[in-house]
Amino acid sequence: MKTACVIGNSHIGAIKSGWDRIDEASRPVALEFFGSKSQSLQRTFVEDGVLKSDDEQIQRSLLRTGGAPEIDLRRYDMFVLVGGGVHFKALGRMLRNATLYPDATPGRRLVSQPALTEAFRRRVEALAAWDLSVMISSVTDAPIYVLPEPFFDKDVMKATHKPFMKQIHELGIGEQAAAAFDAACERTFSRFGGFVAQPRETREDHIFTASKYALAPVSMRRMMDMDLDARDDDFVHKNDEYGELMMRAFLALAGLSASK
Amino acid sequence: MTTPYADLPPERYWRSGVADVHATGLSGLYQKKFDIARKDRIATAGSCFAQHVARHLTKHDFNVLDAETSPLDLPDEVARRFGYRIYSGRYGNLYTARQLLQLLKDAASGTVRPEDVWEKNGRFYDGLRPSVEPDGLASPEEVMAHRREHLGFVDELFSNVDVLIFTLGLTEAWVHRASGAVYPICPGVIAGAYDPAEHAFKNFEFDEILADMLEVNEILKARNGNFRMMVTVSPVPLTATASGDHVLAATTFSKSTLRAVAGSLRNRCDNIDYFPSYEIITSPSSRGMFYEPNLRSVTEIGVETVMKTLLSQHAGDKPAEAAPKERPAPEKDDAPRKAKRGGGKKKKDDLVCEEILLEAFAR
Repeated sequence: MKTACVIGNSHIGAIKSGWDRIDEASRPVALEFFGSKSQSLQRTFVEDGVLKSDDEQIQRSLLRTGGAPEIDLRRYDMFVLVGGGVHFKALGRMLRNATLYPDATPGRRLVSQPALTEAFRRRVEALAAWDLSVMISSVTDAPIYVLPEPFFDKDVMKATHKPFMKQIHELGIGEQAAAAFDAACERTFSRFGGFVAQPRETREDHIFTASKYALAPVSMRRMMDMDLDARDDDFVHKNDEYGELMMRAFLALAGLSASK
Repeated sequence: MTTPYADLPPERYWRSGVADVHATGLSGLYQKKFDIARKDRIATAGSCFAQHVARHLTKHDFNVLDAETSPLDLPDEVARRFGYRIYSGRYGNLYTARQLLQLLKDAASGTVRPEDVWEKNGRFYDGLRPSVEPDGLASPEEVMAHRREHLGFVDELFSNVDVLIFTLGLTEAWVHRASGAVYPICPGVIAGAYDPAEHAFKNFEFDEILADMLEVNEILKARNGNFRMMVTVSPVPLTATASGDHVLAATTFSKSTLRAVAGSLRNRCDNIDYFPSYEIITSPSSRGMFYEPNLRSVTEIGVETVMKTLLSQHAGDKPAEAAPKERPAPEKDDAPRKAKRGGGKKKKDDLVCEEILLEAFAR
């Protein structure tokens, strides 16, 4: 059986929990999980085929989640990168002064979806997922699949520090913006293996994750039994049901299949 | 008895003015008719060669307007691919005088014609500037919405301009028979479909071009009493001709006509000057050295020579040799502002030219 290395940030918790929901006997690939918070994995480097960091926190995190303080990239048949900063919010911020057709709100400049896609694609190339993809591909030809951070749930619209999410929703351009996000990520990561877009059935109004997937969210800290209580205001992390759907989408994109 | 030819300065004689002078050092070829100061609000437009002028003036700290910046923070290369930061508006190349006049009138009236939307593989393009959205847009309605917004910026631009630098590029064009709309490229090359019943070839004559340019001048003078225009003629030969003539003969006709119009404009209008970039590049003294091996594209040395000549007369309040200065990032409001274009040297292929696509049709 092939072995895949799953590397990610806090969202790896939901992904691992989701994977655990898939019957072991039907799993077409063995997975090994390594996690480190936020964009910290940008502080890694490759030496002799091994992904390392001089940061002790990162070493501890990799050890605690994956059983080793560093990752021998040559051991794996494929890679799954989870999160890595690939989030819709970065694209959402770009639309603060702009809009997409058919919106025609005065004071907002019209931009085309292709231009937005291209602009966002350049942003993606500054994220941890990109850096890791480049580092891994310098060692091995094994395919790399990137899973984005999930869309926020709708409670984000109550958060004053992310007003652009509410604006995009109210302008009625969520569908176009989400399409630009998916297209930019697809164009960026297809060269390494593929981009696993968040499944349609988990989305609500195009740019949000449906609330049922936000119930009892699983972050990496919970996965590591460091914080068992889900936070009430966590509109970021999702649950194991979401994780299962993402992993099934990954298997489908990778040409692997798992029975239900 | 002496003659009018006695005691003329050296540049009035072919041997001392051209034959014995290196092509990079022609002197006295251009004497400005009026000043262009660095604070003057400058708009640039025209054929591909005009992109060189815009870029170099910006680099030398002239107040080249950019009325249609991208609200997205695009790297220069991406911005240019989407038609931003090339000219003072996102209008693409205006190869003919009629295109310029049409743009001004459409902008003033807010005219958007459905028949100017072209389709290709399910995507839709603005036939009047088909290269600004290289991937097209999702629907004809979206194209028209973008064009409406664009025309608003163009109208604002030309309400705020002191100097227009316009490069006349072609006499040949394709027009929509019913509306008279003039396109920068034949329908079907980038998008759309050529239909002889709908589209016609047009080779503009001297009188028509002169009349169009005079009308442009009147429109802009009415908006700004201090309006001035500098016209140039692109030295870039035609990629292809639909005139039925050999492409060399067609090029000569086209450039000669445009050059004659430019000269006539200069002679007739106090506020119009002609800058001889055409002569600098095509002069026999250059022996073709200012052209790339394809004998069309102008080399960077050629462009530098042109700009050196221009800046020798229009140094503004600084000496022409002053080091180019990088611009600060543009402000975020929507008023026309100084352009922010990539500094440093550009490769020759940086120009955005639809016309070159015609080469793909060569057998």
